[in-house]
Amino acid sequence: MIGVWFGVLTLLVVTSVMGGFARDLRARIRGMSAHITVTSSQFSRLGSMENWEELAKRVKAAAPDEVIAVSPQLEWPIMISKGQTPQPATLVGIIPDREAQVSGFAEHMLDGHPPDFTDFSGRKIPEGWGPCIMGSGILTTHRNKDILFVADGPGTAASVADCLSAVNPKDKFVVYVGDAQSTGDLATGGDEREYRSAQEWLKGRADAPVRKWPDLLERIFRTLAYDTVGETRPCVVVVFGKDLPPESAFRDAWHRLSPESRRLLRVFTPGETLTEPGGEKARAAQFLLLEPGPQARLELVSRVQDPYIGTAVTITTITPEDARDRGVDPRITPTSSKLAIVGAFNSGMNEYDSQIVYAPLEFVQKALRECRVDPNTKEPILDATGRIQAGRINKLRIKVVHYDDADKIAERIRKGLGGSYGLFTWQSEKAILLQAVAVERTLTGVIMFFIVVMAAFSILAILSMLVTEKTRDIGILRAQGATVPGIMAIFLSEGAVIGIVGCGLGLGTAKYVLDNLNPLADWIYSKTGWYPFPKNIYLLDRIPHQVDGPIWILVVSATLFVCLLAALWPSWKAARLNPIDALRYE
Amino acid sequence: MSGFLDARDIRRDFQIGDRSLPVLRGVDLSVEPGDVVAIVGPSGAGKSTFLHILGLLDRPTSGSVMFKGQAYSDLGDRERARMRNSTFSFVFQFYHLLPELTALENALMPVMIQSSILAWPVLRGEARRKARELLERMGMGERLHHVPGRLSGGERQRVAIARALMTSPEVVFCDEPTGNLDTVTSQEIQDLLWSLAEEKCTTFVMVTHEPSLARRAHRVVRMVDGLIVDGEVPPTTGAAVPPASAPSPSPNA
Ligand SMILES: Nc1ncnc2c1ncn2[C@@H]1O[C@H](COP(=O)(O)OP(=O)(O)OP(=O)(O)O)[C@@H](O)[C@H]1O
Ligand SMILES: [Mg+2]
Repeated sequence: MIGVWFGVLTLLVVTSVMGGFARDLRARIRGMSAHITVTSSQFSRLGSMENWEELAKRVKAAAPDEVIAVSPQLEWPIMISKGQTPQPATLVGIIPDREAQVSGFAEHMLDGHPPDFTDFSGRKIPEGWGPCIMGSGILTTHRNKDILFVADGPGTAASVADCLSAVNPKDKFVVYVGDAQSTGDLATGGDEREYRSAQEWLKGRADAPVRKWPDLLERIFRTLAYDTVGETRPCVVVVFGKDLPPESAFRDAWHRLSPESRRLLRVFTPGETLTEPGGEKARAAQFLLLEPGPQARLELVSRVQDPYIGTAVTITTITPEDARDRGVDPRITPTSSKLAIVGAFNSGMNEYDSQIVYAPLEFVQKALRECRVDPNTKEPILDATGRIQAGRINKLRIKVVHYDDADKIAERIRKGLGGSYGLFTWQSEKAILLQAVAVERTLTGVIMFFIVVMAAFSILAILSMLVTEKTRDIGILRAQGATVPGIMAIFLSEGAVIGIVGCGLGLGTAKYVLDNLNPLADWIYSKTGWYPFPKNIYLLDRIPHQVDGPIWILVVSATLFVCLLAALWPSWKAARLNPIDALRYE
Repeated sequence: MSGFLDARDIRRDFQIGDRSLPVLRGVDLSVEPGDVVAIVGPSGAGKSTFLHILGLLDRPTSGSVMFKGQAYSDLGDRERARMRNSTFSFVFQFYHLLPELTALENALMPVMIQSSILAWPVLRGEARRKARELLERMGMGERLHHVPGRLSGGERQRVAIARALMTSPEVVFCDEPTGNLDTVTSQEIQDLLWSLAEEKCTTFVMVTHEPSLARRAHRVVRMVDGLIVDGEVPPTTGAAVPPASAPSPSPNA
């Protein structure tokens, strides 16, 4: 019975997770890459396609019934740096409205981040900077910050405790409750136990008020500033309180620091204009004033996803210059620009999340000089309204109605466009990945088959043992006139009970496990430190599953069938013995 | 040739490896209705084997058994099962009770087997009453709900006898029914069997080593080495043997 139970459980869970994995992966691949992408086959140039509006019209004309939307892109590899460590990424210039129609970009924005390059907290972007939206994975690799929680007044400690669970495992956190003297200092992090002990600690200080508010702030600053020496780890100061001091209190406190400290610590509050880092060593401190309550955690998550949001990064890239076109030396020149991170997205696919930096198409065209440039200054020539002219793109992405027919539609578009264009579909773009998933599914199918066979044999073994054990009793019943079918009915019902109860338990637990896959994985992680579904390997950040009705019915009915069959054979053998042989059986 | 229960030239060979071991080598026996036949003989003579063949628990290698003009070999599986259930009954030396069931349930078993699942709830009350009555008559009134493991040998044999009589069979086969019991208990069981045989005029064919039991039979058949050597006549003409025509004196309790 337990064998049947676990057999059914494993079968259902594994097939459902595999199914869900394949489905989600396909959806994700589709979601972030366009159904069809048009590129130029002229690879010598960066921006290989001019006048994309005209091109978009021709695409639409080639397959008017299928093409839903088109979105131009200028895509180029860059190095992104913040502080000392540069990191490779892909800069993608987009027109947000259009991109949102083609890919799932808008849906994947983090809570509260608008998908249109306006800053999520309403800050102004400095002159000459470009806004950008980053994959959360890029942020993650930078993510090593201090979070300083300050609880002011009764009831706030509970909010801090609530918010602690939103702290990223890599971050260090410090909690201050009470006045300056009795400040509790709970540094370190990255460990489930730390959160829990901090929460315990907070319980004991539920109602401690903060008394000397400016003193406490000064102390916080000082701590941060001295910590900062030799460190560039950013800091978020989250202040909880009902009647918070005005914002000027933060300013005043900052001004009271020594000039040395002030150089080391850069403070900004929401709504402030972004300023350039005060120097290589300056530590960015962001202040967040939160009302205590259940909404605090959500606000923290959306606003303090990373302190880099709202700060600046520098991107550097090299562009292949076309001498003939631009009248410059035919060589590769480095270009750099400043970007302010105004938002972040999380597509759930690590490959995109750790790679893509979106910026407005025009900004990218300007930065990479993919427009009309002055041959002498190499600066873009702007028209009367201050816009660039003849901007180029290198990708035109298309969304179609029937994405599974992308290949056929791409063929139609190729014919319609003529000329030298390269067309890719979402399947061909990720062919290897999709193939790998398909192979994995087949493999799992084969393995599953063997599991089924093994399970069948174990059921057979169990039941034949049962029958063997009962051979004498079978003889006794036969001596009293029980018929062969009568005896078999007894064992068949035994098999049926085992099958039905086993399947029922298996179904129930499978449902439970599937509904709680991720909490279970987290639980395993918290107990053993081993995470069963590392996201960088599986490309998805949660364990998916898909309950496939027909497969479940197949599994359950096959199990029942095997149970009955396994009961049938040994009982038939035993019942057909001469009664006296059965009686004499030892 | 009585036309009731006739065995003709029964042979039974057992296959041991590739050797064939003849155990019964042409046994003839006919039993009249109401007869009480005792089969005696040395151990290993083939008495049990013969009894099993008569009781449809085993098949002969050759030879035929007829019951009321019907040859066993003509019977199908279903027929044989029905006859084992309702026409014949067996009392074994080793009781062969179902260990998980109580005395009462064991006694009920043949009736349960006989009835269909649907009919059982209807028959149940009547069958229980009858089983209880039989067990009480055998002095088992206090042990109705004991499982065999908690009963003594004599008590177990009483349950087995009650079970054998539940379906009011025409022939009861007993294979050394008292073989495992002490003399006193053995005497009690014998008396019980006797009174039942008399009362219901049931035919008994029993194998026994017990002289006291054999002496009471109408007929004693002696089997040696797979053959009946001394059959069809009242045994050893001892003084205490009752005449075959006037069956059994009243059981001395
Ligand atoms: N299934 C069997 N396979 C092989 N030999 C068997 C089998 N059953 C019985 N025999 C052999 O047949 C012979 C007769 O056995 P049977 O049980 O009929 O003897 P019995 O006369 O009843 O003896 P006892 O008085 O000891 O019970 C014995 O030698 C026994 O070994
Ligand atoms: Mg014997």
